[in-house]
Amino acid sequence: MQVIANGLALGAVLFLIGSGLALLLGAVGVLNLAHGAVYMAGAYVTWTFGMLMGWPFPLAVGMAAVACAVLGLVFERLFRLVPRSPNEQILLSFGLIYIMANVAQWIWGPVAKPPFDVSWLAGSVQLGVVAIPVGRLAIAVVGFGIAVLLWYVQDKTRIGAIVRAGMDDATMTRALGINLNLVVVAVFVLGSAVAGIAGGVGGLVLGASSDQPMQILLLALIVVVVGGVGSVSGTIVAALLIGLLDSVSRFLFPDMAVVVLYALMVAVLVIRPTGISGRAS
Amino acid sequence: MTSRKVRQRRIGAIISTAAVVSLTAACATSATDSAPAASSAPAATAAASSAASAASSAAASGSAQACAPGDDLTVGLLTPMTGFAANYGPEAAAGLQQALDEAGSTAGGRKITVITADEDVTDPSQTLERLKQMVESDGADVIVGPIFGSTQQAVAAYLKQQNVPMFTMLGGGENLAGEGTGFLWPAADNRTAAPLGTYAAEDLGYKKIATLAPDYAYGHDAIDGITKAFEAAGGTVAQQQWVPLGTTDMLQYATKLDQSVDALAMWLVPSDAAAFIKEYRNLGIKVPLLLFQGIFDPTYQEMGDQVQGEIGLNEYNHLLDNPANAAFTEAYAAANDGAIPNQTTAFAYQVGRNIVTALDADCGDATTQGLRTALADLPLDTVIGAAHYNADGMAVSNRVVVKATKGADGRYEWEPVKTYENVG
Repeated sequence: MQVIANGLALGAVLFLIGSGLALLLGAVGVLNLAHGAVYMAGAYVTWTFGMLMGWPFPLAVGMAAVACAVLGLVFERLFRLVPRSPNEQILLSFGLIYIMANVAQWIWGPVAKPPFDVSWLAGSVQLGVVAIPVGRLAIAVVGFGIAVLLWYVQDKTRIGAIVRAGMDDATMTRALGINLNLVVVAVFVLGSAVAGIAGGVGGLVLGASSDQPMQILLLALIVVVVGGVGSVSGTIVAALLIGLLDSVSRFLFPDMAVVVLYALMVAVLVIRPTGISGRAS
Repeated sequence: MTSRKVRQRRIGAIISTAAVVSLTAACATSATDSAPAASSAPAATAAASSAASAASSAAASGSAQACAPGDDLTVGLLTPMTGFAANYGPEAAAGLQQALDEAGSTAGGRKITVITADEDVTDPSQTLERLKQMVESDGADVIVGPIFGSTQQAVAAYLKQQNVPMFTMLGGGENLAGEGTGFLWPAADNRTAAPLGTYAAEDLGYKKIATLAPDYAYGHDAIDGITKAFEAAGGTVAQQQWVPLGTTDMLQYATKLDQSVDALAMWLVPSDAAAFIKEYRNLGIKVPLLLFQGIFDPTYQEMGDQVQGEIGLNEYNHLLDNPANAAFTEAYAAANDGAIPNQTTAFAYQVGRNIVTALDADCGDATTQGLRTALADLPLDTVIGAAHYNADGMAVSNRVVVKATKGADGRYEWEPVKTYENVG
């Protein structure tokens, strides 16, 4: 039971990490590999306000969301330089990763910040034989909240309808008089803000460090590959599945655990390249 | 419909490419987790030159003979200066420079200059190329570093082939000494942590322990040292957990701990240790910890509350009470606005002094054989007390059992409790 609880707890972290990337890739077709760098920025900003300056934790996370939204705005400008060219997008992303990681080292030093210590999120909740740290519950709550928000925006609002229309046929959508550029900007800002929140809340478990851009990117990519793009529910299912699989495999055969995630990713790519619930053609 | 299909395929292809690219990069990154004793105080900035005279009284213990002036000698410092481990480079450079300044940058009649190269911790082959340039083009006679076990192993064969001595400052695998050209300070990795096992069994009376460490050479070496000593003293090891490279989530290792043990002996890099201990406390686990290396600053200063009263084992500790350490810390503080030196700086300083001592003793013979002969069993008066290198180039030195405390000034310290001599 404890193993399953651990897996669900990890799944919540993974969902937060993966959702922003899935949103960007699915909704505007931009492969922003610097997503992990935005996550890192969120973690450091949260650390600065929450730990260094002693602001209330939710407020610090809010600041991270704002800062990363601004970052998203800048990134959108940069990615506009290389539209519809994945290779250039990948190169640009990697450039951004290196720049941001080094800027972070310059500002916050090369030594990683330990997991954020927030007194009211310390301790754990005992559910029968299972103990779940409160911080993990907080992450799960935030993750669930963001999932609902994203699902609602994407599936139930006019903006969501425009985004989906733009995904399917950008030319036709433009012909209808819709300013798709504005939509792209909005999605970039929203996706980056989500990454910022993920960095802040995820910091309860992962802290903040300048090697996060790569570390987080890898996890986010696995989630996106397994879950597919353009669907919130796919991301949720993938994140929980990966969290559970990781936890269970580490329990049953710890030596092989690291391979299991990549094996799953490869299997999904071979059998169902669009991911678990990627929009089928 | 067709365009959508194409698009879906394209996205799939992009993701796969990206995944492969980042996977490769991440693998390279994770290989660097094989840090040995990852010390981490705020980066020491400049060389501690003005402090030279202050500490010169405590300089090399080897009797400096009058040697005829020889050729200039070049020391190549190979440490990370960029990337996530960028703190090591400046820290080590400051310590080495302080030692050389004290000696007037001369030893055994030879004038010493220092050149540096960046140890790329994500790419040992790149580091090897830089080392080759340092040795073949820039004429490095002696190498100080590298820091990371993965790099040490990658450059060992080349240095052996060139017969260039390698002075490590934060341990190293046993195989680097003996046949290799390594001089391992403060000890070989598989021996350095042993006193923690002895102390747990003999002084704390523990009968049964569990262990936790990363699943790479340094983790295994450190833990093996502890468990062998613990078992030799009559204890049993009930559970061993090895954390694979690239693990981000520590919760499972806390929940899986066999809580019937008397203590958990562990070593993780500071950020992972902090993440693990946080989960440990969240879950309310009461099993005492035995922390090899303690937890280094600045991480310790941020989470010190969570380990108060726990026992650790230090290789270096700035509170160590001996004349060489007093002189070193004083001179360092004087040159750095009262800063406290960390282990990397202290050991780079010590290794610098060891080299000076050896060169003074053998009148500037910087070959591996010359230095081995000069240093073998030569008593060294070091920042961690009396020490020496054996004939194979492995240092034998003191360890100190420490306890996590909080000073009156609010600073967290590792307070020395008991010293073990001649470890290694």
